[in-house]
Amino acid sequence: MEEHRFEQFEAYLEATATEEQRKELERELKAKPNLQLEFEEFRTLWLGIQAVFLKDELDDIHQDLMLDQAKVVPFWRKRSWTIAAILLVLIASAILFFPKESSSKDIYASIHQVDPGLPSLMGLADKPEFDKAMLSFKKGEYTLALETFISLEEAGGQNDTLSFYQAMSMMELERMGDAQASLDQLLTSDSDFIRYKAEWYVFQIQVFEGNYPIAGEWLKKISSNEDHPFRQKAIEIQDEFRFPN
Amino acid sequence: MKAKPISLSPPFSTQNEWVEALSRQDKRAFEWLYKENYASVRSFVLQNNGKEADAKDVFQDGLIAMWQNIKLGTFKLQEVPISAYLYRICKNRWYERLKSASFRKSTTLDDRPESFQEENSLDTLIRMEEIQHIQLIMRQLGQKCQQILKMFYYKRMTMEDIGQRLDMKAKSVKNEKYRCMSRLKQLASPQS
Repeated sequence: MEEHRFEQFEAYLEATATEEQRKELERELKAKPNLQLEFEEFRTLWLGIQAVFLKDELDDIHQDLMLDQAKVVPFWRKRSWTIAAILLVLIASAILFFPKESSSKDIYASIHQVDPGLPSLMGLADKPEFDKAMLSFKKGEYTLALETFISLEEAGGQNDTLSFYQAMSMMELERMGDAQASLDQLLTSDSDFIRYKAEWYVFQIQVFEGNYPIAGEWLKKISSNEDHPFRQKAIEIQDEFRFPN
Repeated sequence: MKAKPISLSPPFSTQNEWVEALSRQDKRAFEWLYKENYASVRSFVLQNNGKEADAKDVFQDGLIAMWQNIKLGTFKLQEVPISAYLYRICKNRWYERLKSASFRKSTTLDDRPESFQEENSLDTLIRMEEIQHIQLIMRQLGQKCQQILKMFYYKRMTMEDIGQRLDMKAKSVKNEKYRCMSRLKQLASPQS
């Protein structure tokens, strides 16, 4: 490949080409299949070279992270039995005299409220089974509710509402991985109502799992959306817990 | 008393800033994402039949896939927060591995929810294996070539700055870079 081609491809990929140069190359690529192949080959190399160095950098970061964590170990190992005893006393005192430090589950418990369920049957009124499932859900019989929601879906009644209440039942049963998978599908729902609710509960699952940076980002997304029904709640939670975002 | 999550300030505030930083391989961006998200991904992999080494591979693979999408302009900013996007890629990568033939023999984990099949929509150009292949052929280029390619493509330094660093004229750096790239291309596809 000639040097000017290298430079032309490079400028295109690095976004340093002018609009005119970019269009000219795109025209050429469309007209010349061989040039298109050369371009793709170059793009793979261009990305590959950078990926190789990025991988090196990630290995360094990983090593630093592991070293930081490992530094804690010698500290404890060097201490004598006396220090161990002091620590034991301190820990015992902490347990006796201070309130327990809450876990992610405690934080989750303090922010989570069971979804109230549907006020109407949202197009499923002709399905008494859905009625039953919703009733079970509202009564806290989540396993039964989940089974019925799933059988309704299997019978061809798949829609966002069913998926959402399946996810809600899973959440109440603390099957968070499955609940997250169902909610993930609803994050692109056409219904604002379902989408916003899905975002809200995905945030809560991240809290439950202790993924605070991700939870924090969801909280930021929710609180910065003026139309979001959980915006105010999100702002209050952020004020209280200060999730990283 | 309620627990307060430890709040570490991210180096960038908007998603646009994040994307720009990742696109120019800003180390602070990768460091922060690594330190904030590795533990979650590691815990997920370990809970799903994985080992420490798998967690590292999957996490780095996910980070590189996200970075590639940014480089190729296929990353969509507004859809989900960046950490959530990364976490999802890593999860998908792990499910994909579990489904692969070699893992299927040693694990009982079978079908995962359909949402995880959306992995295919992540149109990654090169995978870890190809990166390792390019890494191998780059070793055949010699130290100087590797330095020039790193400084130009990865560190995004100008020819003049590279020249100063290597005690060469900018024009010579340019010629040398072309020679290195031609050689690399030849090694990558010896039939052409």
